[in-house]
Amino acid sequence: MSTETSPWEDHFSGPENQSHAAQLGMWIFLGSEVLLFTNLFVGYGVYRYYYPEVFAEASRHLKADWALVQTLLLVTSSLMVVLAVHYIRQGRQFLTALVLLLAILMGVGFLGIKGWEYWEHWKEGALPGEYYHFEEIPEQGGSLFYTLYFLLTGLHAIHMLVALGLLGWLAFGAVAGKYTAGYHIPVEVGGLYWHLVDVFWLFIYPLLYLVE
Amino acid sequence: MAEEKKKSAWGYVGVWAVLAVLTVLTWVLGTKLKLGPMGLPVALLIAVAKTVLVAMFFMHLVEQPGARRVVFPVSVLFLALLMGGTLIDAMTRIRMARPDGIEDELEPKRPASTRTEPPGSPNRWMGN
Repeated sequence: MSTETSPWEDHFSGPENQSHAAQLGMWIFLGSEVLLFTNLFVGYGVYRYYYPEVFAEASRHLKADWALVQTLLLVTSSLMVVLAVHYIRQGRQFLTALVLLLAILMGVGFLGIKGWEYWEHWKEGALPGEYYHFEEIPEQGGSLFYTLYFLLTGLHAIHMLVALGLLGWLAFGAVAGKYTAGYHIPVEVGGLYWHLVDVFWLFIYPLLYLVE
Repeated sequence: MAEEKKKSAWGYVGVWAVLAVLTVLTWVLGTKLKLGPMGLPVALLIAVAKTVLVAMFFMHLVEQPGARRVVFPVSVLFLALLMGGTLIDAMTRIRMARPDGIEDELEPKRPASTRTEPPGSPNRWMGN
């Protein structure tokens, strides 16, 4: 089955095995990503326990309404990505590329809102660590909240950028006819990564923006 | 792939609708209705429900065989172990070992809201 241009590798003894191996590998990578974010979530948990009132006060200064828009954008982009997998399983390459492009647009919209939020924080002095000079929230606890805010949303934004590049590459491949109903492992595996980035935001959103 | 052709995409749209409703619900609960101490557990419960939906249907875990189903739950288990162990440690430390446990005369003047509850108060779950 292996020629110069075939995506199938001989050492997998069949397409089914190759697909299994790729997906298991991706799941293990996603597990390691969960552990990466776990560290920040644990830090958040501990410092929220130490400074509950300051965390609630600082959270009220974030833009929860815009975070709702961001969450809806991400959830809808996840639908677009799962539709891409659905369509490529049927071999419909044009539709696959179209929904992938829609997902990319929503991701860019998400990052645009995030960038505007960062700019607002910059103006009011709510920056992490020693650059914190936001008068309305006490420095002790408040500085920690904003440090964790920038670490969590920043790490998430970096993952978004990588995932957006991945989706663009998949859309390009779909247009170029690289993926078919028979071979679409990259679309399935890349989709998993986008959904995981979505899942992280599902937790960042209530923890940072909706603190009581 | 012939049977794939017949499969409809509306199931995914249904899952998306539930996700969108839950997202708006958690926003209403968090910014309008303010549940007080119940706010965090309820918000996290909604987040977990949304994660299960995304993992099961969007990430196709529901149709996966064998080892691939196990990896993600195991990573969540490790998250829970790390989070639980660290929080139990933080909650049961003696006051002196904590950031707010400095003697009064050594401590800089700062608002009471920056301090955690003193030992024995009802808002403190554990610790001495």
